Amino acid sequence: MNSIVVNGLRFHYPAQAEPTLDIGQLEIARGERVFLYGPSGSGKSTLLSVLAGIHRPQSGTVAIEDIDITALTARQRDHFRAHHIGYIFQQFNLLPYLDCIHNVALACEFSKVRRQRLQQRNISPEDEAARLLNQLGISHEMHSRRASELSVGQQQRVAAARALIGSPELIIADEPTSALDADSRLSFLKLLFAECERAGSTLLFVSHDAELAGQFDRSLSLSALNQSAEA
Amino acid sequence: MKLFKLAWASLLSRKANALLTVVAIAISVMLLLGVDRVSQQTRAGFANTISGTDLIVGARSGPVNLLLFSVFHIGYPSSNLSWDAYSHWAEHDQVAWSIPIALGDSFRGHPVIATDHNFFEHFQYGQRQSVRFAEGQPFEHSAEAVLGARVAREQGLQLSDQVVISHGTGSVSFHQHDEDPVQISGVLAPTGTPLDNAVFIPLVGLATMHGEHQAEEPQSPPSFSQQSVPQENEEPEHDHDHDHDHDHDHDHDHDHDHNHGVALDSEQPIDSLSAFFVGLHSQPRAIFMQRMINTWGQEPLTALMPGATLQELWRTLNMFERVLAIVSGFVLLTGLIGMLATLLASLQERRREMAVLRSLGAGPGTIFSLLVSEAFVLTVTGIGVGVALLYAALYALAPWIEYSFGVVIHISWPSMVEWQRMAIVLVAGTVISCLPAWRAYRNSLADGLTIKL
Ligand SMILES: Nc1ncnc2c1ncn2[C@@H]1O[C@H](COP(=O)(O)OP(=O)(O)O)[C@@H](O)[C@H]1O
Ligand SMILES: [Mg+2]
Repeated sequence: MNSIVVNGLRFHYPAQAEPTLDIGQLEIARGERVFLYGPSGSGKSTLLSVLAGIHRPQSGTVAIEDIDITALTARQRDHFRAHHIGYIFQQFNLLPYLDCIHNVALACEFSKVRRQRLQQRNISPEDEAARLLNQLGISHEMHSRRASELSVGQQQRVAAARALIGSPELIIADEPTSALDADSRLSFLKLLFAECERAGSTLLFVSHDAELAGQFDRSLSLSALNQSAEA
Repeated sequence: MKLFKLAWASLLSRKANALLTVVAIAISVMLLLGVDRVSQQTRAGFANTISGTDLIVGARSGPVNLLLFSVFHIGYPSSNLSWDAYSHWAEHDQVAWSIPIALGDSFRGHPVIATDHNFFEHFQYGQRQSVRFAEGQPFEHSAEAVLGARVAREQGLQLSDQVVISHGTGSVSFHQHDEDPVQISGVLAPTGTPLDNAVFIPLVGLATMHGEHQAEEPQSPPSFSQQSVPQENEEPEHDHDHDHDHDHDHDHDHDHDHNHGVALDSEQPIDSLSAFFVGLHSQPRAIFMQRMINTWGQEPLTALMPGATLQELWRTLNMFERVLAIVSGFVLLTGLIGMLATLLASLQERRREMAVLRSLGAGPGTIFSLLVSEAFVLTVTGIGVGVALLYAALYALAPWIEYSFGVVIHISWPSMVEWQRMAIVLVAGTVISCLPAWRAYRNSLADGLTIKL
C-alpha cells in the first residue's frame, strides 16, 4: 500500500521553458516517515505543491492514497487536499487574528471529511484541537491566545496540530523546523512523529538540512530523484 | 462555510484601515443622500409657503426678487407701488380678493409685514390652509400687532404685551420708533412657513410710525362707502364701530399726544406698498391678468404667478443642489478609491494568509470571494453609518433650517430613490473590490504553497 506514487512527472512554471521537476518514479508507503532533502532552489517546495494538487504537472501521474490527482479538476484537487493532506509551512502558518483553538479547528471548516472523522469519534473540532494542542505541548491557558502572541516554536506546534486534526492520510511539512533552534527542532520532531503515528498518517518532511535525516525511516535526495536538476 | 466569519475576523485585525474606509464611505453616503433629501424637503417646503394666491404684484422688478421679499421676506423691494395702482387692480372685475403688504421694518430681527385684514382672511399656505390664530385676533387698530408662532415663542411674548417696532430690517436698529409701542392682539398658529417668523401690523400703523399721517391729525372719521378692497371681503367678527370704540379705549390707555390707535378703515391707509397678493375668480385667467398688469401704462408693475416663479427660483437653487450632488459623487468616488487602495495595499501582507487558506483546501475562488465579501462588509457598514450620520445631522440641523429659511424639514424613512442610491453604492463598492480580489486570485494561483516572506 502506497501513500504517494509518482510516475514520469514533469513540471515547469508557466514562465519557464526548462522543467523544474523531472521525476521518473517515487513511491512512499503508507505510514512511512520520509525525509526529503536538497539545496535551496532545487524544487522541493515545487514538488510538494504538485503533490498537494496546487500545481498540475504537464505530464506524468501523481497518485495520492491511490487517487490520481492529475485527473482531477482544480476544484476537486482543492477538496482532495482539504480532506486528505495536512500541510505545514516553514513559517507564518497561522492566521494571526485567530486564537490557537480556532487556527487548528479552521482545517475542519474547509473539510467535511475531517469533520466527519471527528464526528465518528464523537469529538467536536474544538475539543480535538484542544487535545492536539495539549499533546504538542501547548498548555491549556494558551489555547485562547492569538497566534500572533506565540513564539515561533509554539506557532509551529499549533501548525502541526492543524495539519493533524481530523487525521488526514498524508502530512506534508515544508521545512517546518528551519526557523527553530536545535533543541526545539528535535522536540518538535518527536511530537510530530508521535501524533502522526497515533493518526496513522504518512509524513513527508522536507528540509535543506540533512542533519535531521537520521530521525526518519527513509531519506531521499531530491537532486538524485530530479533528472532536470542533474542536467 | 463560515467564510464570512473569517472575513470579519480578518477585517477586525485591520481595524484602523477598516475604520477609515468605513468613515470615508459613510461620509460620502451621508452627503449623497443628504443633498437630495434636503433639496427635496426644501422644495416641498418652498412650495408650501404660498397657496391659493394667483398673482403677486409689485413695482417693476425681477420676479424672483419680488417672490423672495413678498413670500420669504428675504431682501427688499427695489421700489414701491402706489396705493392708487393697488386700488385700481384690487377693484378689477376678475379679482376676488387682494392683500396689500408693505415691508421694511423689523422687530428684533423678525420681518414686519404691514397689511390689512385681508391677509388673515385670504392668505393660504401648504395645501390651501388658511392662517389660524393660536390665540387672540387680528389687529383692530393701528397700535396693534399680530405675531407669527415662532416670534411669540422665541421672544417670550404673550397677548397684550407691548413691543417696539424698529425701522430697517437689521437685528439691531438705531432708528427705533421708540415713541410708538404696539400691543399684541393675536398670535398665529404655527405654519412651518416664513409666516411663523413674521410680525404683522396694520398698514395704518406703519404709516403712522413713519409719520405719513401726522399732517392728517386728527384722523377723519371712517368712511364705509369707499372701501378700496372688493366687496367679497367681509369681516363678520370685525365690526367697524367696535373698532372705533376700541380705538378710544386704546387712546385712553396710552399717550394722548401721539397719533396712536387710528382706525384701520381709512380710504388710503398708506401712500405706497411693497406688493400685493391677488386671488382671482377664475384661476385660469391668471395669465391674462398677469399680462395686463405687466403692460399697464399708468405704472410699471410686475405680476408673477407664484407657482411658476417658485419653479424658476428652484431652478436657480438647483444649480447649487447639482454642484453639491457632484461634489458628493466625488466624495463617494474618493471613498471607494480609498477602499480600493486599502484593499490593494493589504494584499501584499495578506499573501501569507491566502497561502495558509490555500493549504487548507480553499480554492482561488474562495480567496476571491473572501476579499469581495470584505469589501461588501465595509460598504454595508459604511452605508449604515452614513445613514445614521444623515439622520443625526437632520435632527441637529432641522431647527436651524427652519429658523434660517422658515422651511420645516420632515424626518422620514429613506425614500425609494435613497434606497436605490444606497444599492448603487453597495454595488459600486462590491464591483470595485473585484480588482484586488482578482489580484489575490492570481497571486494565490502563482504562489501556490510558498509563503512569501
Ligand atoms: N511561483 C513560482 N513561479 C515561478 N518560478 C518559481 C515559483 N516558485 C519557485 N520557482 C522557481 O522554481 C525553482 C524551485 O523553487 P522551490 O521549489 O521553491 O525550491 P526549494 O523549495 O527547494 O527552495 C526555483 O528556481 C524558483 O525560482
Ligand atoms: Mg522551499
